[in-house]
Amino acid sequence: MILKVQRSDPATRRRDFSHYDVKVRPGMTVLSALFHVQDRLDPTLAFRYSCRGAVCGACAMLINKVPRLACRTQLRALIEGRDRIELKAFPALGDAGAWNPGREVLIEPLPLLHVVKDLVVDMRKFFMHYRLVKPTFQSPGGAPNREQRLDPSVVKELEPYTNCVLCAACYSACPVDEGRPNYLGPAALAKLYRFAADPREGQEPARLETANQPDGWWTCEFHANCRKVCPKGVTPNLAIGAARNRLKELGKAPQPGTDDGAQSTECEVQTAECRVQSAEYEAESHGPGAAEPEIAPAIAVPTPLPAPVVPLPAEEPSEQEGVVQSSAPEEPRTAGQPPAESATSEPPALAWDLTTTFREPQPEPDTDAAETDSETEIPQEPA
Amino acid sequence: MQSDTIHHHDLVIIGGGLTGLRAALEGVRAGLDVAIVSKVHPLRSHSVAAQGGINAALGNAPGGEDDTWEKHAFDTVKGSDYLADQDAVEILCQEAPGAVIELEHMGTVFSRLPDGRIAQRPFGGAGFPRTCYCADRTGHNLLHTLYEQAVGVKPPGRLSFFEEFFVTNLVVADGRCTGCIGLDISDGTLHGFAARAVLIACGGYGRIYARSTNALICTGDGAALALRAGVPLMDMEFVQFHPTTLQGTNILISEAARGEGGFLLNNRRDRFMKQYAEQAMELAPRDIVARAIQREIDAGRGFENEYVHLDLRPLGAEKIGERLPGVRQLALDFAGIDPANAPIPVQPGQHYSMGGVACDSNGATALTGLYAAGEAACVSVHGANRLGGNSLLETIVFGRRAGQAIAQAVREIPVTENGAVEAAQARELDGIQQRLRRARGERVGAIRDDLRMMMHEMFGIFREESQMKEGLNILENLKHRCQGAGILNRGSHFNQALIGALELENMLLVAEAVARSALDRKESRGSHARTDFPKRDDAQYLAHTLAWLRNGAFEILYQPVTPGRFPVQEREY
Repeated sequence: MILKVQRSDPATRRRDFSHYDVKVRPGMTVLSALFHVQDRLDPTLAFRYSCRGAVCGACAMLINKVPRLACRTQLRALIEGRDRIELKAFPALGDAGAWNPGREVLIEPLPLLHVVKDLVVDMRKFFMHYRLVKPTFQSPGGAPNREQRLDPSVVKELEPYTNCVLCAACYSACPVDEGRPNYLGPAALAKLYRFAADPREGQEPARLETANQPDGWWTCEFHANCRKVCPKGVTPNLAIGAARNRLKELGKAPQPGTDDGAQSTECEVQTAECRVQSAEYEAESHGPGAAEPEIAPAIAVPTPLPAPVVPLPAEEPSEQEGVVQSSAPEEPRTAGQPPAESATSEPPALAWDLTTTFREPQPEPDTDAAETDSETEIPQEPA
Repeated sequence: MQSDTIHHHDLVIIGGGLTGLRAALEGVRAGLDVAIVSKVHPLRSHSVAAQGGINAALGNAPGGEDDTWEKHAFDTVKGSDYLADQDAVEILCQEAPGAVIELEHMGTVFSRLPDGRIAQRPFGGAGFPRTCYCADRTGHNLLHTLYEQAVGVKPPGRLSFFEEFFVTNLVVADGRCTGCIGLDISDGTLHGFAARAVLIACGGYGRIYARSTNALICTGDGAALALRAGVPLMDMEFVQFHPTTLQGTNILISEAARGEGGFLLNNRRDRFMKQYAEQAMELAPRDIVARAIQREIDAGRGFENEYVHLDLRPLGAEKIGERLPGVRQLALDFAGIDPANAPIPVQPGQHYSMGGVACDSNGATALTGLYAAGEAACVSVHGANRLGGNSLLETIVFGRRAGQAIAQAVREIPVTENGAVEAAQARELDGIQQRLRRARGERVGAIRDDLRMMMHEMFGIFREESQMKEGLNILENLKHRCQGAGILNRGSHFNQALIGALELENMLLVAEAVARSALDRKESRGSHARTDFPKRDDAQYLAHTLAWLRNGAFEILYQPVTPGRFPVQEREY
């Protein structure tokens, strides 16, 4: 079996693919195959890892055009076409070039995030969006030596959101994220909803207001890629639908007649649809080998992903493992992965400056005024 | 590779897991400028993998009303086979309810009783249902809670994160720890950190064993840093083997699976625990259950001479789905088994490091300015065997205490001058460049795999003198091989070949501390089971082992255990 791995080297600014011939052993995951390659075939390969048990969220990458945790993805299942996830396609998922899904497993970095090296992406933008929703529980005070009561049914409602591991699979699977780089994205919105829905804080309207912006709750088009790729069963699409409905109940939704309003009436229907799909998903996909049901896309995307499959020469893969070839350099992608220079030339719309290095965060102005301001500073697209 | 800036902070914390984050919050609260330096993003720390829960005598659960912190302390001391320091255990158990309530006030979504109070479940070695939990994802929930608090600290900017920085060494000047040197993995630059205090909070050393539940990052870096700075490690021979890890991958199957009513069965479908712990059965402490499973396998009553069965079917699909959803998903993902329909194949695997950097109950080590807490430290609250649910508790209680103690101590410590840090930075840069010149040589991975297999075979669940001596011989050879290992990657960005080589050096150092401590303790106590000395020997060994590095060689000393209200007894379950 061939691992076709996208390589990026920041020193040379080259981007190409390396091909590794790996003998698949029973139970071998994509992560264990990558370790095998790094250990024995190519020590220059870089990828993130930590728990190897699908709980830490470090190893999300694009595997056969689907964002997945490498540690949880069985090679055998990929090759045999089991455990498939059908996504609404969008350009940033990219062109695979010459890729033979029957023989090769295609491994690329998560889309929509800058590549640091090979399969390692810069997660700062993702975590900036996380920070923008102010994901810090505000205790209302009360008796400091007793717990606040919480009904078990509420725990059940919150769990789908507290289970998020912040791996960014949903973020990079979102067709909307691509067109609107400042859109908060599914993970951050699901996190925000977790706080809005927590009765112990009792700040639901204020929490929902935090993202009552075009680049907040109202951008989602309910493609549901987010919940399909989530390795933890989180349902950002349901959170977004519920938040919109609550904002409407509270009379805080954008006025009907505007673009966003029109979209939001449409979304109610789709939210219901998502619920049904989610139930199907729960029922069918939680066993090994269960296939994701074919779901008609909710909204047509203008440019469906072309999937050009150029078969490789028909000879059998050799039993001997090794680096097969490194293909000729390909043009770096433009969609979703602009070179570093273009990132800095974007209008600095975010409350958190993305060019700031994470290790030396700029202190947020420490005034209440700034606190309230930043709620309205969720970036808006230029009209 | 080149040198970069020197960063100045009051407190530098190595490790961003529960201990590091909890200490950081305390430091910021006390007015310190704090930096967390971690080789992974804090949310990828191994704390995230803790499943079962956190102990506190809240007395919430039915049947647990009479629980008290003293009973928690007794269970902990007895569980430790009387090697824990009772003053430290009292602190742990007394502060436990407050620690859990505080986490709840920080937003943790604990599982609840019907009346809305925090639910508690039975756990091994505990007299009452005392373990508070978030389904079977307790570590995940706590880690996200503390990280959420950490990104929202007031005033902002007092807590900096240096993510994906690998600390290569501590800086010691004039008998004081004044900082550390960190390699920025993302671009290969070497940074200096000048600090008034440094806290080691980077977890345990499980990955020196072939079969381990630990994350791949648990390579004993903290213990190795301390050793190289001349600081002693304590009780390193006490390595916890968890009874139930998935056969093959050794992914943890939480003790909660047994706490909720799962059975252990051998190939005769016999609940064999009745021969080993008639009263406690599957809920005996981990050392006892792990040895029982290994004995069954060794006696030919396992499956394929490798594993036994953990049968959750008596719980029913609904209870499994509600209380153990993570266990179910792990079994599905990594063994292709739904525990509602079939038993899970389990075998013991290394799980926890009771030993660590020797420190007091404020985290202070033998070196002024250097502190340790959490799994990286040895206070000691776990002694020779840790009870389930006490490790998460330790991270919160002693992380907080270390933060407080450091805030007090640094008032008297002057701001660190750059000199010593600069000198150390130059030394470390030179060392890294020398390593990178080894363009040829043996694979680091081969040496690492041999080390892990040797530790599994020679210093595993059962130990014996001639085996251990052979193990030490192999270790000498591995150290020699490591010096000639090749680093076949010259790149500066995300050079994981270099990181792997640095980790291997740490692992070899820590493995030797474990090996020499184990060989010297001629008794069986808690997790340290010697077939040649099967009895506990309180006359000789009711004492902590201290392992130091002096002029490049290990020296073993003993230090008395702090006694307390619970007299030393035989340990029966």
